[in-house]
Amino acid sequence: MTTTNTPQAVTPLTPGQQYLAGARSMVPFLASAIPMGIAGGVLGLSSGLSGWATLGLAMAVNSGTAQFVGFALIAGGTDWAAIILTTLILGLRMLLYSTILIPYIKEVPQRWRVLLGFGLIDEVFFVAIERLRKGELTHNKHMFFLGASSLLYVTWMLCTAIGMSLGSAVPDVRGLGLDFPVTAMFIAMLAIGLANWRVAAAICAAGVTVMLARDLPYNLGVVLAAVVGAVVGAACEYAAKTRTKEIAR
Amino acid sequence: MSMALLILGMGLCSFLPRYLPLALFADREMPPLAETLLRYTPPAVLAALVFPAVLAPSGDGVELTLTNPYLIGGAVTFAVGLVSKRFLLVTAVGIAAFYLSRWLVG
Repeated sequence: MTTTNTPQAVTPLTPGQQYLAGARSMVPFLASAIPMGIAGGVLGLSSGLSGWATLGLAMAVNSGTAQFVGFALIAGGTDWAAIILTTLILGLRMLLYSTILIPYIKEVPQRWRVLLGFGLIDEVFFVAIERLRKGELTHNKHMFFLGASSLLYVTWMLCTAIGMSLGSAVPDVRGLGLDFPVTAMFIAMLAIGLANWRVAAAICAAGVTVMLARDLPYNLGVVLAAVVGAVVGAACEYAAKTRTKEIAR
Repeated sequence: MSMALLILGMGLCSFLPRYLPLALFADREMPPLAETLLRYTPPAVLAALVFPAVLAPSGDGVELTLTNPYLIGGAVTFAVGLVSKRFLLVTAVGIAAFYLSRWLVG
């Protein structure tokens, strides 16, 4: 079912080409990953973690959010059970990502799914899902994911190490607006992918919900808003279908 | 030693939500309702990430003002994205608008 809209004339990319295509698709995101990675290295040490713990935590969680929140909680002497629970709740958004990918990865072998899951972060997911839906990514999908994830992962860890070695010599990057490029890319995806009024309704519903739920802890507002947005979008689709049937009658 | 255990636990809790659905459900057919819901989830998640980043960038109150560069940059990115479908161009124009309005605000 994933191959129904495959363009016929296109020669499938080899695994190597697909790896490079994945890596290339992530290059724009390096503009944010490099400064944020360096900032993470600085922040880890200044939160009182050892060098090994700083790098180890970054490598283990592979998520900027979980890493930054983790540093803050460890520095604040938070109970460890609470830290682990927080990490789990922060990962709920990822549960949505991997669930959405399910129909597209049926032919990917189990052992590759481990790597695919480990490397699944916001940027990789949104770029990949768009290509999968358009039918642009049909062969050697796991290599595309590997290319995309590994470029960001290696860059992030190198930058963490750089941040650690530079330490306090790095100026405070907060307040320089370095978080905006990622936001701009997400907005560009939203605007370019705005196919119809049902998607617009889902976006508005999610936006309103997340703003109303901003006081919820642990980013739970994001998960709640995602659910509300998806329900509104799906409801609009069903309403539209029912109406078309009535008119046809 | 115990720090290593904490990091391991955090890593596991970060990994499992991304991996378990892929491991457990990828070989089954999905019901049509779930498929419809999941089609609208990516734009909803994007919106949920973007709205607070643009409307309340400092994490305090909502800043619905012309002196909020995140709002200006975000609005420009969105408007250009509706017209042009070229991802890098749209993003670059938006980032330029952001830094320009930051500089103007001072």
